[in-house]
Amino acid sequence: GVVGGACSDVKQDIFEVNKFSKRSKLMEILREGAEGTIVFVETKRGADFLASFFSETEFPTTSIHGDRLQSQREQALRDFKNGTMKVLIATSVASRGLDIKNVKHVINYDMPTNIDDYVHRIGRTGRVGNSGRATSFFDPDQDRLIAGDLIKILKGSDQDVPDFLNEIGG
Amino acid sequence: NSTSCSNMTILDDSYIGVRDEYPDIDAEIRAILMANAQNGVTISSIKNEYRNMTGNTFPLRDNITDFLLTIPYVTAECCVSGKRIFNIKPTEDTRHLHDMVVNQRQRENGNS
Repeated sequence: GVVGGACSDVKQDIFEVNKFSKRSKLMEILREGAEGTIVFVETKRGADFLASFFSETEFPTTSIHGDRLQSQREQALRDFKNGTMKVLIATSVASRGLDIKNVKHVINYDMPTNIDDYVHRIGRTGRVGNSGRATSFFDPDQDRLIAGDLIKILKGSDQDVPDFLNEIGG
Repeated sequence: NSTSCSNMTILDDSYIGVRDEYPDIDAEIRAILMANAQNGVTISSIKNEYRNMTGNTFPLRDNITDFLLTIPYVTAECCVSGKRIFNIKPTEDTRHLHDMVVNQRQRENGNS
């Protein structure tokens, strides 16, 4: 679809979060409501680390990444869809080609490196009239290059652009 | 078994200070071990990953094996090569992950 046009039903929040504050920020957000949340991270180990940590301390969480067999991906997805697992942690490579739609909340724990991936990820929430929610952690040490494109997308879908982002991308 | 328990010289109490300062350390280390459960992991890798995942330097310098073995569900084994390899047993909460990691595609290198 048209870039930016697909996501006007989605409430997009961008938080400035540095690398080592992400986990506690994620926990804070999930405690308000975890069910049906997909969290995108960069590395396979990071996905399994978070899934294990959250499963032990908070909510049943599963993970999908590029080392998983197809059958394991499908099982993880089933567990997520039927609610056995409240949260799904995924690397973006692994999530491509998977049928994950109507997600309540998409969280970009690690920002994608290009804006098409951002649009694609948040397109998994807020379908057919239902409003969706997408929350992104922007790490200024890591994500500067995407700032300008991100601002355009936010403006194009009638979202507020946070001040810190305007300063970085403006 | 009882023999190995009676030989233990370090009491769990010795690490109360560490756990006071780093209240999540047991879950964090179990999570590192879970992410590496397919092949297990050495102390130096645990220290590296701990720093990568948490931003903190690993809080112990000595007797790390003893410390790790005070964490419930952690295992250690000595390989033929002499390397000491740590791993994790699944719990009710993490069995779904453990099953996946152990049976997933073998990683070609140790990165990412």
